[in-house]
Amino acid sequence: MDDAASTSQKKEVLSFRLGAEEYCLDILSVQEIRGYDTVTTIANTPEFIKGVINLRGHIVPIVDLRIKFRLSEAKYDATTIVIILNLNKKMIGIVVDSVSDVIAVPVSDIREAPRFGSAINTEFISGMATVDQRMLIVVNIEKLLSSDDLQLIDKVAA
Amino acid sequence: MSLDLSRFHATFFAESLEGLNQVEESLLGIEQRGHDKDALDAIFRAIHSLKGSAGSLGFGVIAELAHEMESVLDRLRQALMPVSADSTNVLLRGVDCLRNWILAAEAKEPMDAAAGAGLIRELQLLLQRTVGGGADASVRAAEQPAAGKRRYVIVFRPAQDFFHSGNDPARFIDELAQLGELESTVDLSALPGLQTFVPTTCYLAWRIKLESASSSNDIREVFEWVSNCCALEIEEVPLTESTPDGTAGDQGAARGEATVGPGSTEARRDASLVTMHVRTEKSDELVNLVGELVITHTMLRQTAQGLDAIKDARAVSVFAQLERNVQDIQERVLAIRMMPVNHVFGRFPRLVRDLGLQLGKAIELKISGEQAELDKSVIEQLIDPLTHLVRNALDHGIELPADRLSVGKPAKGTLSLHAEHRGGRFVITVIDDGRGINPEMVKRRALEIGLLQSADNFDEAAMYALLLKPGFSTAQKVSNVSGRGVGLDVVSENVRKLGGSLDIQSKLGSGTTFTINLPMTLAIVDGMIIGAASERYIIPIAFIRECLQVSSVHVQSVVGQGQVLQLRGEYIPVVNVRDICSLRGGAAVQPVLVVIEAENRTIALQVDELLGQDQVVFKSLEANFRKVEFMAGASILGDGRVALILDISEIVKQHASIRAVSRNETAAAA
Repeated sequence: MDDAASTSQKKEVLSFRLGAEEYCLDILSVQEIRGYDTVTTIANTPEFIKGVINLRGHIVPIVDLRIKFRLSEAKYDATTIVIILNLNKKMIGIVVDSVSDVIAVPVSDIREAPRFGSAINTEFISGMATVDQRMLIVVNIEKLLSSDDLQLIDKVAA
Repeated sequence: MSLDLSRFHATFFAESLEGLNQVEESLLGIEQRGHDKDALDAIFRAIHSLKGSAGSLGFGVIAELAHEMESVLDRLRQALMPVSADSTNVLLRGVDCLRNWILAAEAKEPMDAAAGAGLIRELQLLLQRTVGGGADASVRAAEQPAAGKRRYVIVFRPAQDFFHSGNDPARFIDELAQLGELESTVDLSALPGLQTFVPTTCYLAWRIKLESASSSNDIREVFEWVSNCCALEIEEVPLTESTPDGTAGDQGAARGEATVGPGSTEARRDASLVTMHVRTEKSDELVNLVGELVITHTMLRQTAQGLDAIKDARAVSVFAQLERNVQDIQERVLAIRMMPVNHVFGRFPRLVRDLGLQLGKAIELKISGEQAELDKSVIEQLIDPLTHLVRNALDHGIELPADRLSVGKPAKGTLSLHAEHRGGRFVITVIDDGRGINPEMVKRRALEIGLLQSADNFDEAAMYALLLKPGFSTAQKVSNVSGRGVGLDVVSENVRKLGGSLDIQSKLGSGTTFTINLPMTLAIVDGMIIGAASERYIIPIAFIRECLQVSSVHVQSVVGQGQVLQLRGEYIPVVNVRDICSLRGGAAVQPVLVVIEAENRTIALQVDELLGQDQVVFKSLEANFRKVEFMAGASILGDGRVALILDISEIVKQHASIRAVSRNETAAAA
């Protein structure tokens, strides 16, 4: 990990739950957190793409990671949370089970992820960290959301 | 004393550039229509105010050139000098030079002052040439009152008992102002000290400068009523930049303090302040904020539904008011982004004139539909492709006058630019009546440079496709107008980037038509909001021919072909929106057929219900997501929710191909 090279520096992450595991992602890619509201469904898209919402005039797609990773029953109620991410000036909303908190993780504490069976493919995991006996899986959200099987972006024309 | 003037610079640059554009436009207009007093006055004022601002902001070079132009313009507007190609040329070059300087100043680059020196000399020469005949001309002007304006100095000295007869001096000055442009100065010299001052006595006198086409008798007539109780002197002075008493109009205006001004000049200057410049980001932010406002308003409306119409009458009426206001704001804000396409077309009269002179061709430019509105960002990106097409038409298309006459065409070629909204798209056509494209030449050239392997299968469509290939040009000589082998392919590429298409139609000997077909991306679209299952979609109204109740028309099932609507002897295939959008749900109570036309085909879309019409803002799905099949984009409805806009062209195309496949299958089976 290139991050591990710099010691004592801390990285702020937002932790969230998906099923039994606790994940976290770089706070800098988070634009805001909001409640789940009615979405406009889009025909002929996978089930985990819930549709699009109007976020202050922007049309933003919503992906339900719970459905994508078949982790928990996807219920939508007043407590359902959407994390709006801003990646390369593209806004995408992800639905997770719950958002825990913002944690400052010493960069040196983030270790390389062992090849174990987490719900999210290890390809999209950039490391593991233990904070107060909690084990956090650091997700490379950008890589995850730009992967082909999420179908969130146009395939580059051949 | 150092005053930071730089904060005024941005405004000065923007206003001056705008002013110069208008000057250019008017100059070209005058060249075509001949002497036009009003237009010349407007040009004079624009250059004059440019001179003033430039001077006060420390751009001496600009002010100096503007001053010389102003002198020439002053002669022109007083008809002391004929409007000639010479004068227009020099003035146009002056405009160019001023514009370059202002652009340089804006970019904080040095101004090329040398360019102005030559122009100033030319302007002065122009002036000298007419000065000799100047006196002569003014005499002629005096003989013929209709020829132009004359300048008078009027001294109006009412008698001391002027008020006693119930007269009001201001009324006469007002009346004088009706005759022309007027500037008056009060002479307070007769005013006594306060002790001896008698309020009912008139101590004042006025010195009035009047520019008017009226004769001195007309002026005398104004004062006819009071001729017995005032002293009146009317003197005609020559109309030159500096009058003997050293007060040219501008200096007087600048001095301002004693200027009593029912003057029409001021009012007209105010009229030029009706526009202002706003950064695009600001208007974008505004659009998004309005979207938020609409959502908030919707939430409020839901809360307000519990209100009692009688008990909470006041709240209900205030709420209705709010609703109207929110709607108005939304409409207005969205309209800000739309600009008439004239912003592009407006630059062509000059281009065509200059190129025509350079190429020795006589060309009439016809512009129509220039008021059609298009989103600003699209307009900006149209400038290059359109300029290219116009240059192309002038250089390759329209023939030399002699050649035209020999084939029986009028010597003057015609180039038409037309813009219109058509079928939810924005269409611009560039038509010339020139020689057209020669298929033989295209073929030969294509074989020569290896774009075409063999001459077989060479038809019209193939020719048009070749023309859009990079590196293709049939120009016989390379000129600096066009014909360097880059051209149509770049135009086509630029247009495609905007999501549009470029179409060519040409007939050998009678001309070529280029059609740019643009989507209304970002533009406001009139949409029909329809319901299907629990979803809402928008169909651009431009595509809709009519709407029919399913129960009232004849729909037949055709084996292997789905359903067909029989309408006035026409068989129209029926497609259910639910199928396109993979929607399930209970059957619709009263389904409606929306007959749509696109790509020269007609189909009937079956929808569950019509929910209403609205102006919707076209938003791209690709901004944060990707292209979705059968959807042209999305829009935000009045309640703040997103509705997808159906891509009618794609639906029609796709449907036709499904049909074609099933027909082939039927054929194969048979």
